[in-house]
Amino acid sequence: MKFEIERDVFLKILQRAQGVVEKRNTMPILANILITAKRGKIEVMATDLEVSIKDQCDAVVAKEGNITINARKLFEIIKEAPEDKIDISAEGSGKIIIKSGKAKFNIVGLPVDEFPSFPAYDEGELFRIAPDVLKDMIEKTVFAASTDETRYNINGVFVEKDGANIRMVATDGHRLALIERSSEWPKLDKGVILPRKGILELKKFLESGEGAISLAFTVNNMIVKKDGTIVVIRLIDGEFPDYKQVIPKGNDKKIGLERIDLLSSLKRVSLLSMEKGRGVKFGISKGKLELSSSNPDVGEAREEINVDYKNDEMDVGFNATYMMEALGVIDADKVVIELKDRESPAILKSATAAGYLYVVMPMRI
Amino acid sequence: MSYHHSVLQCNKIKIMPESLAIKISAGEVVERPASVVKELVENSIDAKATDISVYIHDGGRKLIRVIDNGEGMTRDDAVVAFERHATSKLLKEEDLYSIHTMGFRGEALPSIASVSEIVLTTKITGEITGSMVKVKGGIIEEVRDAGCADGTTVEARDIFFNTPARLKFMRSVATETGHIADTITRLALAYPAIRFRLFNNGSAMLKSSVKADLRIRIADVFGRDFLKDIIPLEAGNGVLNIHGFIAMPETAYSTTKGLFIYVNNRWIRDRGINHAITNGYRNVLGQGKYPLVVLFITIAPQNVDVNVHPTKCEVRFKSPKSVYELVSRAIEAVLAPSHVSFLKSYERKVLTAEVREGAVNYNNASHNSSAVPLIDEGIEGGLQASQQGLEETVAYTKELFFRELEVIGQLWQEYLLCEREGEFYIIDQHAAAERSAFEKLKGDYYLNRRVSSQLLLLPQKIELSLQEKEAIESSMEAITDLGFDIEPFGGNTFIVRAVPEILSGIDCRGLIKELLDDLVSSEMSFRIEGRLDAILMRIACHSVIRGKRILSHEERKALVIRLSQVDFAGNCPHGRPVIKAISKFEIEKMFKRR
Ligand SMILES: Nc1ncnc2c1ncn2[C@@H]1O[C@H](COP(=O)(O)OP(=O)(O)OP(=O)(O)O)[C@@H](O)[C@H]1O
Ligand SMILES: [Mg+2]
Repeated sequence: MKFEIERDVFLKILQRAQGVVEKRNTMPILANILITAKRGKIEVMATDLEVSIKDQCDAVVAKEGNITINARKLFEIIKEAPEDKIDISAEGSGKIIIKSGKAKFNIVGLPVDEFPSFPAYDEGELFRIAPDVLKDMIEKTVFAASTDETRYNINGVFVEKDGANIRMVATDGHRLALIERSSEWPKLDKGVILPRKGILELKKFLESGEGAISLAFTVNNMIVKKDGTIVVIRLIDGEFPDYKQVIPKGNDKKIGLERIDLLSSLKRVSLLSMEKGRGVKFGISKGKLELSSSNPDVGEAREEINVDYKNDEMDVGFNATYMMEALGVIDADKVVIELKDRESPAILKSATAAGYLYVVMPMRI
Repeated sequence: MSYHHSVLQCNKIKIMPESLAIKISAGEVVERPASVVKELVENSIDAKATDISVYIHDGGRKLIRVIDNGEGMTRDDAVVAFERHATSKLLKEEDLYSIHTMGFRGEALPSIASVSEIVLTTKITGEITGSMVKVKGGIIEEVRDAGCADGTTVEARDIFFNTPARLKFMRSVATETGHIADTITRLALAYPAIRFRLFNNGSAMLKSSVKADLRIRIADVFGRDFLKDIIPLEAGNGVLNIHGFIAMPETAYSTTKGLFIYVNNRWIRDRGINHAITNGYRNVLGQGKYPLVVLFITIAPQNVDVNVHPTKCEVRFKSPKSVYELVSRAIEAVLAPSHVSFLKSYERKVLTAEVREGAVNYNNASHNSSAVPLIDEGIEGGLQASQQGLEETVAYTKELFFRELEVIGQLWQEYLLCEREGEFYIIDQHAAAERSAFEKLKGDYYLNRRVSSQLLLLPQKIELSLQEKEAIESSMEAITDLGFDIEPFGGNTFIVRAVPEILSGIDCRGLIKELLDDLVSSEMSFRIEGRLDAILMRIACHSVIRGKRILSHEERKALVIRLSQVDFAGNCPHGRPVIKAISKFEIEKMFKRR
């Protein structure tokens, strides 16, 4: 195999592949990328078996063939290459030679047939979607997904189609975020769970400039295509909890308040706590909400904000981080907290717009 | 047999009256070769020797020879010494309550002589000739003049030759040799000023330096490397005092072999004190682990009875509680932050020498000034006061220390590398996270008498064994105080409705099972008191993500800052260190710049 390529073009592709390459080094081959040189193009592939990426670009191919090479090493060499032109060639023995100007590197690759094959998909199924909507939906849910690897079925975002609506739900067992939007969407017979890592890759993709994005779902995968790049995300094989059951009904104690007031107040009050995520007490009475937190070492923090509340006095504890994360993504000036009692799930949502719902379980402080 | 009286020296040994003899704890003195070594060396120590050599062959079974340069004996004494209850150390009953010597029973030599063949040669300093006494199976066979050096040599051969049953119970040569080495080690630590040597089958096994102090003696017997990991300890009120060295928790064993406890310089075994020590270490050492501690308890002889056991390895304190408290609190205080290894160098710069001195010696000072307070109250007050003074300065320096620590990178996704003023620090990120989680839980618990908990939106099911089920049913209250909410769901299934807040986002079922198993195996009702630390450590351990993890810059800094809130001795709840310093000097030495 032998080809010549522009440094900057190559670098961009390698950088994207880097993000996918398995970092835990469970299988040595997964630290590598597969480069295939064919008909005036090279194709770069990386996978961690959960997310796979395939990219391509033009190159001057002198001799077709393929190699696998350590992704990080190659990226670092190319980044530091002295000239704009890079020349890569490989011999049958697995020795790879990288040349740029006077610089020359020898690297030994791993056998190409050890590299996992790229998941199959049908190009015709790909369906163009609105990237902004997708990005927004991800941002408003993914933070609530579980990071506990033992609970794989909630380690991602649940996606389902409901008539003309598309719905995404994420939970970590303590809180749940749900968003619903009407949007064009590819065929999806039943709900699927997208893994966190895949979602974050997808988000990066959505953020990287203009360009149409197409999606498709197979039984096991979600396929995303943008320009020449294809990302395949393996779906989580599991049952997502029955989220509809945990969305409370009849929470009659409604507190209306300014989103910014609550957010900044929580930030200040929870500052005192030893670390983020500590409980903050919500003392609610007519027209006002008193937030307080205490830290055995530092003392107590207390703050009051004016709210719209007409019901009985009560107090309830919440994890400040859980509240702040949701308040950070809701785009509305006014929000509502709907409570039942100090042990039942609460709802946080925009006071005006429908379509987004955040359910959070109180804390006993 | 005939022999003349010494002209220059008076005899010192008397046979004690029957009435006194019966008060002495009777029983087997010689259990194994090591007991012979112990008795002979103690005699040499009582004879004010400054140099003691011990030779053994075949684990002491064939031969034990102890050579000292002590005061020696007259010929009369050398003979009388083999009589039962013949001693120069105890004359009247009152002496029994103020024992200042290792021996006091007049039992050792006759006991050894009755089970072996003994040759004792001895000469009093200044005499021209010495004496030799040969005893076999308890019967004196020969007494004659002998040319020898000042001091006494006792040679015991063929131990248990006449008691085949005992011979059968002897263990392997290696085991017996080990016991002898332990015996010498214990004695050598207690008497650093005496030079000890042990020769096994002709080759030196242990050699200690001459006129050492305790520090050097510790280096002699454990190796020089230990010195950098030990902290001096000193506390007491004049009536009851302790001193010694305790090791950083990194040096831990799963047995009590690292515990060297002495009462009035006598090595003893005492479960109560063992417990006091582990209690002092409880925040920095996992359960079932024992540190290295060399601890000397000095107590007025009338407040302790050593005449408890024939081997003199056990004592009875008049007030065991005050000893327990003193030991436990003193250790805890010493392990408190000011003495943490990585902080040491920093402190030296920040705190004045005066403050440091004051902090360490406070106990003595405060008690010497007050007119001999009652033991119990005295210790309490003194220690608390000193701890407080210490903590204030420490809190200030610790906070500053961690704030000034600059994180320069992450290694293997497991360690944080930090820098500050000519020192290089490595933080184990897992241990650090665990430690700060533990502190958080503890703070929480002390504030509210329970751990704050997060209610679950998706309650989790847990299947329990029959035993676990019983355990959980009988300890619901405690479980709730720990921040859990677990309800029966029929059969062996339970529903977890709430978990300690710190475990948010983590599957707690494994932890719940662990806690219950703990309970089942200890067959105790689940009470938090007394075991709080262990339980909270377990929870803390589960709360932390295991394994390698890349931390963002903010996460790194936050973790380091969080350590400043921690009241710790450089160790995570499992007894693993959290932070280690490498000085510029050490690094420069590595590169031969120094
Ligand atoms: N190495 C020695 N140097 C000088 N005197 C000794 C030596 N060994 C023994 N003696 C004398 O012999 C006496 C008897 O010794 P022995 O060990 O039998 O009894 P003890 O030391 O008085 O009491 P214990 O039975 O508790 O050891 C001692 O009191 C001491 O006076
Ligand atoms: Mg003796």
